[in-house]
Amino acid sequence: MTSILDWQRTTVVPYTIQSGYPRFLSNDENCVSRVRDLDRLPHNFDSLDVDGKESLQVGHTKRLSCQLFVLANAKYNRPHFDALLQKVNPLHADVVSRAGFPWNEDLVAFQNALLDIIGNWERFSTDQPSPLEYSAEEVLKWRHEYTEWAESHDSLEAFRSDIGINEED
Amino acid sequence: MRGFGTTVDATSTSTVAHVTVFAIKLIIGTTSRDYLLSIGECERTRDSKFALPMRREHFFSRSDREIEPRDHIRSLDDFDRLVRYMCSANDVPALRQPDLHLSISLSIPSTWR
Repeated sequence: MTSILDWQRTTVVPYTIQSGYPRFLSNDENCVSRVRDLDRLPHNFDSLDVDGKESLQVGHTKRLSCQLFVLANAKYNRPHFDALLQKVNPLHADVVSRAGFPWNEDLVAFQNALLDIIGNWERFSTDQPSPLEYSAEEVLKWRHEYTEWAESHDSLEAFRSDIGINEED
Repeated sequence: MRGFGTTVDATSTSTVAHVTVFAIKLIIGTTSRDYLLSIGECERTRDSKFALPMRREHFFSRSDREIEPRDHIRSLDDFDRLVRYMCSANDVPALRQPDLHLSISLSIPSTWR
């Protein structure tokens, strides 16, 4: 035995929806734009004060971890690496997961995910127009509600992190 | 895509992911399209049977406007209209831990080869 993994709450769903980054290897869900040149600390790192070093070290570790995850996929899991390169897959995964949530305040994130699909429609179809149309007023309202929701959500995550809990615990 | 359930009875041992005890319409299928449509159908059924207008949680929104079940149903209808564009030949079923993190995994480096 080389390792143990908890598979609780894992489901079998279409590959294009399953593909993605583990949260702790996602560079705070920003992913990385390049993998060929591994992230490095700046040349003047040793001359910085403790706080400056810590801040840079944290960011560097997040970016490098994400790059190594992508490279490991390229070497050991080519289909998943190819899926990671498809920019449309995170949009798929987001809207599908939002659609599957019970209706409540998450409706705001669901509507925002629909707007993201329309905003990136050229990635879904190049020869057919989007089947969805919303008024400019609706788009503005939904985006505003989402911004408000996302800020609150981030605050809640920060509170949880500060006291050492998360949604999974 | 194959492998998303072929059971036709909504029993407690059903292998169909989105069958619920109060479902009035079952979507039984073997394709990613069936799977995606079943998501919307399940939530739409729940909304139409149980959902009521609801105040937003003040922590998440300062709006006094209530969330209407019909808003959610409309979004689910819109989601259904996108489904055909979200299916592809690469939609093979995949098992993947969606939230891998260090707390749920244990590696034993001494056994690595």
